[in-house]
This record gives sequence, C-alpha cells and structure tokens, in this order.
Amino acid sequence: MTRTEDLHELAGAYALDALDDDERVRFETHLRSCERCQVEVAEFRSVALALAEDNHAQPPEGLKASVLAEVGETRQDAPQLASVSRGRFGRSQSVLAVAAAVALFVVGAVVFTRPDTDPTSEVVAAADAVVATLDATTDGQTGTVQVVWSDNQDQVAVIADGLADPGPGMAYALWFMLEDGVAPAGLFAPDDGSVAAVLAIDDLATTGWGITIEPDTGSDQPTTPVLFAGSI
Amino acid sequence: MVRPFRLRVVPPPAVDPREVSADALMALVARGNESAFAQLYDELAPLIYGIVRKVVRDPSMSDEVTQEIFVELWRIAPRFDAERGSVRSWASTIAHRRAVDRVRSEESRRRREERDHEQTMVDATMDPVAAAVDDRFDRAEVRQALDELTETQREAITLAYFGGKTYREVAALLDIPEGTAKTRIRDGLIRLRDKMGVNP
Repeated sequence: MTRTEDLHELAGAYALDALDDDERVRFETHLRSCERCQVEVAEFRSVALALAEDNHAQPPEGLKASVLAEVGETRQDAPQLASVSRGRFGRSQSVLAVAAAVALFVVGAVVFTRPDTDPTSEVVAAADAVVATLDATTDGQTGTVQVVWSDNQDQVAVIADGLADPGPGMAYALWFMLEDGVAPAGLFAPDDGSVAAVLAIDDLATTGWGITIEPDTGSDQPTTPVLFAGSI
Repeated sequence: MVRPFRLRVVPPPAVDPREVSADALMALVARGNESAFAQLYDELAPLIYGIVRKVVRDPSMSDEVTQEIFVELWRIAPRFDAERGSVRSWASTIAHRRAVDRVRSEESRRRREERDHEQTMVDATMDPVAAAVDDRFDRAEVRQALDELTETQREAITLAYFGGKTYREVAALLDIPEGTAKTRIRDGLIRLRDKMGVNP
C-alpha cells in the first residue's frame, strides 16, 4: 500500500517513463484527481523536452518515404468528442458549434457550405492541396490563419483561430492577390475566434492571399488595412 | 473610403515551410492533410529520432520504432488538444514512451529466451552511465542547468530519460536505495525546471 505522499514523489519518475507498469497505473489513477501532480508532470515533461531538444539526431534518408507511405494507408482516429468543444482547433467540429450555426456571408462567385461536418476536410485532404500560413502584418495582430486550396476541387479552405471579433455588421474578407491588383474571394465570420470555412473559387491565377475586415455585405476592394498576408 | 492599393503596398511575405511551426501544421494534419504531415515530419524528425536513438540504441530498431511513432502521431492527430501543450511536447512524450516500451519488451523477451535456454543472463542494460550522456549537442542553457545538479541527480535523470530505465533499475545501477533514486529524479527535475524557467 502506497501512501499519498509517496505517490506525489513519483511525479518525476512518471514524467520520465521511469515507473514499472503497476506503479504507473497506480500513479495515473492518483494523477486524475491531483492537480498538484498534473502541474508537476507537465512541467517535468517540458524539462524532458528541453533535454531532448539538446539531443537531436538526423534520421536516415529513406525513413521519411517509408513513414509517408505507411501514413498514406493509415486511417486517422476520430476526434475525441469530450474535449472537442473546448479544443483549440476542434471547436468547429463540435455539436455546440454546429448548433450555434456560424453565419457566413457570400460574395460574388462564393458559395458557402454549412458545416454539418467539418467542411474543410475534403479540400484539406485533396491530393493537390497547397497550404499557406498567412502572417500577421502587424505585431499586435492576434490569431493564426491558414489557407488551403485545391485546384482540382476549385475550393479554398480558411482555417483560423484566435481571431478578434470583427465587430457588428463586419466580417473577415479573404482576397486574391493578382498580378494587377486584388479580387474578393469571400467573407467569413469566426465563432469565438475560430473558423473553418470553405469558399468556392473558379480562378486560381493568384499569387497569394490577404485578409481584411469588411462590412458583411462585402467590398469590391479592401477598405481597411491588411491584417494577414501570405504568398503561395 | 476605398483604398484599393493597400494590398499591393504590403508585399506578401514568402512562406518558408521551415518557419511554419509544428503547432500551425497540426491543425491541418488533424484534418487528414498528408502534405502538412510531411512538413511536420521534417519539423519533428531530428527531435524524435534523437530520443529514440538514445533510448533504443540499435540503429535498425530505432528506424522501426521511429516509423511506428510517426504513424501513431498521424493516427491520433485528430485527438491532439493544443490547450494541453505544444505539439513538440506531445510528440516527444509519445516518442519517449514508445521507445521505452520497445526496450522493455525486448529486454523481457531476451530474459525469457535466456531462461528457456538456461543461459546466464547477460544484462544488456548494464551500459555505463557515461554512454547515456555522450554525443549530446551542447546547448548552453540545458548544459548549464545540468551542471548545477548533484552528480546523483544528473545520473539518475540521464539513466531514466535517455537510458529508458525505471527508477528501481536506476537505484540498482547507482547502488542507492530505491526511495533515494525516486527522490533524486524528482529533486533534479525541480531544479532543472527552476533553472530553465520552464513553461509547460
């Protein structure tokens, strides 16, 4: 019988995977209800990561190809629903978010797909999907924005997180960067800062993407400074 | 007010794949994007392979374990929760666990076989402590923090983390009581944490 005080003592060995199976199971049971140990384990794992970062080694050349070949044949697990409603990227997939019925606005050739399931999964998984992470153009800008487009599917997905509320009557606008100017790609509205939306496009002669905040009726040209930008 | 030239004034910064962080890539990997996973592999491979080589030692077994780890990272990516820590921390925790699992199951298999053949057990785990700390990249902060540990703390942590030993094995190797090994590991980690100013 291990006393509780002894169990606290195991946090270090646990974080380094240095418990045998019996003790690990016992500690994990304790861990679920002990906030102090949870914090300590997380901190110790960060220490372990620092040790590992100091110990990089280059894998053999061919390993990447074998990994990717196996990954191509491996189905992913379903997201954990219990944590999804609070998860950073999972929110758009949650039942709550669907019930909240994210409002999206349509401009020009843009078609809006309602996210009964994650609407971006198809374009993101497309064989020709190209990913661009847009960079914030000012230091104070919060949030991350990624754009994934598929030429084959004539679609572009916008996946963003941590965006500021655009304000009443306003929405975020995605712009094509063309040789001779810009053109609107569509509007999207984040739900609690997050969005995963798909916009239909029929012309991909674009060299990059830009994001501004516009009136939710749409604009032909940007009326506010660019918040995020990225090239293809 | 319309300012149509705005977007042209701000040149789009080139996106260097190496600068796309593991955390940003993860959102796409979680949605089944294989090209993002290929980028994530490049981002994480030196970290993961470094851990596996240290713990597993054998090169071809290390390759095998590394591949298993990356396939697992892909498989469980949709369950990754960014609120609970960084991708690097998550991936390194899983990698270390898998490497340790492999070493321990190999050891017990070896012990079983040796018992079956009534051979004297050759304990392949008895490598000297020094072997677990050699050929490390020197990064000033980590090294400095390690330097400030007592000899036993440093040895106990190194044997446990890079040697893949349980604290009981650490105790046997260092010839100290098990309770002491357990405490040395935790005290040493607390000292490293405080020195490094770690944020989980």
